[in-house]
Amino acid sequence: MQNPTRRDLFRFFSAGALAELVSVAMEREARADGPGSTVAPAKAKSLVVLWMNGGQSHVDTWDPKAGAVAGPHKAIKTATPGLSISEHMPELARLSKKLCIVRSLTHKEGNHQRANALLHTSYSPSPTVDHPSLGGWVSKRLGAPQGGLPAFVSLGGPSHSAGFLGVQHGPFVLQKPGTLPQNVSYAPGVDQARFDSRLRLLDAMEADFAQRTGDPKVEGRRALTTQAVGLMRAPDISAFDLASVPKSTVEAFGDSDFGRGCLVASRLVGAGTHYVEVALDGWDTHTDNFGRTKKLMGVLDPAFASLVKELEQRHLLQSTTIVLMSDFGRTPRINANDGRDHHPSASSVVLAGAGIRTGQVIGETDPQGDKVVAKTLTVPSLVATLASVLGLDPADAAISPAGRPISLSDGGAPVRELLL
Amino acid sequence: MRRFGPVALVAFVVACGSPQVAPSAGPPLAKPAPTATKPEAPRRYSATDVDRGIRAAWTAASVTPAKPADDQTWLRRVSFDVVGMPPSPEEVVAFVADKSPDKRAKKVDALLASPLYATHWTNVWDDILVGNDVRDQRLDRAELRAWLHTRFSSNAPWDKMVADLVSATGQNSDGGPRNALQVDLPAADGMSATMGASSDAPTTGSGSHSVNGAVNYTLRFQTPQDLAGSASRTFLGVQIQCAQCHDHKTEKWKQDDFRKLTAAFLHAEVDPIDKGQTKGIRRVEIADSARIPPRFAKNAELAPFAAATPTALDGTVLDKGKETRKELAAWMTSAKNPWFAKAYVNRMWAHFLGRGFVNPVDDVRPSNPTTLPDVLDAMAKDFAEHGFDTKALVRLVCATEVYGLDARGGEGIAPDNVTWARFRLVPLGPEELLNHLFASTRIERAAEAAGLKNLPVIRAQLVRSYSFLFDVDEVQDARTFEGNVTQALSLLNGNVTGYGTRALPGTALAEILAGSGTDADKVDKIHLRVLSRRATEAETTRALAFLKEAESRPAPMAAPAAPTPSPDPKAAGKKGGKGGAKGGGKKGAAQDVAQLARLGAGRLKGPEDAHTRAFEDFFWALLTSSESLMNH
Repeated sequence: MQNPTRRDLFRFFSAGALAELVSVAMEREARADGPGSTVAPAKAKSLVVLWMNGGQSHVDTWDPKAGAVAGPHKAIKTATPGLSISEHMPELARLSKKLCIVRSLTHKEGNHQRANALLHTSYSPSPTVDHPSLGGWVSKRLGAPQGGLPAFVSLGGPSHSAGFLGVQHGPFVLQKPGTLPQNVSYAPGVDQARFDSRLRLLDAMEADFAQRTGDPKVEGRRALTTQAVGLMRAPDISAFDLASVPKSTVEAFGDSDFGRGCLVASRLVGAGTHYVEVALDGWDTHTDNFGRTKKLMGVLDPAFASLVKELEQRHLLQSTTIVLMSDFGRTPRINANDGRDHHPSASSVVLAGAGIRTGQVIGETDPQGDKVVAKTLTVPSLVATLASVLGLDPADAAISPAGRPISLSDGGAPVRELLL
Repeated sequence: MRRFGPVALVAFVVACGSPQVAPSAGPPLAKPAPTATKPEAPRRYSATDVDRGIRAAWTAASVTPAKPADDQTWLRRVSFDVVGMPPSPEEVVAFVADKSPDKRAKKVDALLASPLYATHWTNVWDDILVGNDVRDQRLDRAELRAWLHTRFSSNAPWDKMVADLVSATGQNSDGGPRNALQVDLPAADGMSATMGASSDAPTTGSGSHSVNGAVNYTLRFQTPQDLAGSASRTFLGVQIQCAQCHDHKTEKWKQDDFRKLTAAFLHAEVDPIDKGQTKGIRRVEIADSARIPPRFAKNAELAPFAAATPTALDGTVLDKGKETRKELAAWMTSAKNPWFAKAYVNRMWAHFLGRGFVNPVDDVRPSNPTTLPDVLDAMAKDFAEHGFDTKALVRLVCATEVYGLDARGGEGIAPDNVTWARFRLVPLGPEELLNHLFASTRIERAAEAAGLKNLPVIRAQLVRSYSFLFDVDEVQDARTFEGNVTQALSLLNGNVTGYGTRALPGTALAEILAGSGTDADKVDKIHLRVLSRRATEAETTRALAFLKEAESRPAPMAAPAAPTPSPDPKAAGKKGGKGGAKGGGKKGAAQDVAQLARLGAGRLKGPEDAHTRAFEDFFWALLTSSESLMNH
């Protein structure tokens, strides 16, 4: 079938109720065209992404080096034979049997915004297509959990939009994790009966306006209102609120925003949220790289380790995959400000949890940490690996507004060595 | 007009050459205002010419355009678009009653002459030039805003403005406080002078002779590459930044083109004035250097740029020593530049019509199809040849028939029709939204009546939080509604809609309820206040039925004390906060807004009878409806 025909068809139907059916049919067809359409069964129900915002220095954390490129941080041995990581992550070193460390991610985007888009969508940003993030795909394909929570939640950072899949599949963002989201309770003087009566009137007005204008934006707003009311009334909304959690538990996670984010993430996963991202900002260490990375590892270590333990204790680690990733690595060369600069050609990724072959280290950089010398991992393959763990087809495709089928992982294939 | 076939329509257009207006639908559209052209000057490209070009496209595609919008709809639309504010109820009534044939043109002139015009366009361009995500110790946003405001007030030519931005030299700041507001809003009408902190003029900005606010545009970027890429995209619509890392696969731009363009920006030398720690904005001075400073050549990332010869995108060599950036600005803003005028006209068309000729608006390139390129070219040529007069362009666009079409489509017009055969619904942007909510509810007057002392702070924080929360991607041509659950929750349960829709002393609703007239009259007044139009008969009937039913309900149970968990009191009131994380400003904003709730819960007391409550419910529904919150 030719693209113009598809596009015309899509345009023709896009206003009507048939739009969804048509797009589903076209996507199925587009998917069948693509390679590797045999989909492995899901190993995990949820993915937790630990996003190290700014570009985590791989050589000061997961891929320590000796000699001139090394800073003051020492490497320590882990429970995994042959694997050493920074001394400032002692808890994770002890947990290394539950981690899979990949030292060979490489790409070409040295700008934060572009790298952020690439890691989240598996495509470099394009002026023509607003690519969906993996979180957006997860929301679209796996849907919202039973308990009324959003499918895709981002804590402490913006994550990345669902692109052309639509804002309804974008992240529900909470800047400061640990408390209920804002405005989920009725305004003062309003109770449920009053709120419902208002909503009924609003709905009648919206129906009117939708009919008068025939514009799908009105229907979009109505759907969003329904979604918001659903969240207000979600039985599981208390997952966001740490007020009733014992202080010792919060402290085990390090009592930081990131730590609280990781704790909330474990609770959201328990309530069925499929994609939770927790951001730790500050890794753009152009100056004072060593002071800052030490501090950041002090935040990361207890939070990440407690997340693994908490999920395990709640029997959720068998259905939850964790991935730690960042914009890019940092230059082995130390600059004049005692900092390191952007270095997309080598960075580290850490995986854990369901479906992951843990207790191993995959890939290698040269003695300086400059270039990947073994088992190169590309971003599309990383995204494909994560998608496959969740039971999504890495070759899954959706039709962009311009009528082109866009695949989930840009041709990436799951990396067998990382998977059980 | 549906009965005309394409051929008949062509004949009609050719014969009349005039907009297709149904005789009964409002006054005939005005001819564009005559401009001070010399007798020998060529005829200006007019609104009629624009309409003729677009109409030809409709004819070719057998599209019957929507009917013209009525006066009320048009007035609301043009008010939001030109000054970012809805019209007042009195304005609506007067405009509808006005029988003069050129009342629409006169209205546009009045809006352009209003002080609100410069405020609105300062907000628009501050958002485009700086946006929400920028935090830099050297960025004095208030000075940049003051600079923009002065230019929009005096209708500075667009080429002059951009040249001054791109090649700006001088001092960035007097060292004022960091984290200036992104948005200034006009004070609500009826506010006392003490609220002047957010009046029509920007809140701060020294106007000091030593400071040139325009240099803050250069300082907004972390790297010269970002500056070059962004300036090219914003002012020319050319996305050269894609060639930053690699030669573009499908476009003509090579990495080398990008390096050469960036090299021109490397002539900006930033010299610190403040050394060591400063509490306020870090003062620097930008000067032009004769040669690219050696430190750029020593930086591994920048060395390839420093080695390139400063060159414009069309190959014009800009390598003129100290004059390099001026040469760059002159080339960029020349009437002969093939992109410059087009980029602005396209952006303005998208601002007013909801969709540009080229979309995204800042992505002009051969492989991105342009809708009606002839019309865009002609408008751009006229704009360039007549002094890049931005107000004249507004007059032209607002005078077109196509701008005055109804949002509801005729038969066979898809909602995403690309030739503007119906007006495209656009959600109000953050500034317009807050202006609208304030003007509709008069919540500020109520807060003032209740004696809230820190109103300017709360207001400023509301502006800040709205500009984050309701930030929309304006370069995109959205087919579907772009919003998220957080926004929806804020409108459903947030403080502005929560308190604003109550009949508290001073609110619009309290005033209407205290006035004379039947319930039906009051329903009509609420429509006029919130939707800038009268209620229809069917709407009044439904409203009265709702009020009756709502009145019969028992009073709500005791409300919870605070709608959201109480914020950390230590952090409340601290603007922006530190914390390093990008969300710092948002946190601070949320906390100050929560203050409104805390103070409000104690002090804002309104009547509690069932009749009032029923009206509050009605007002709330109308205010949070799509018709209220979209430009249509």
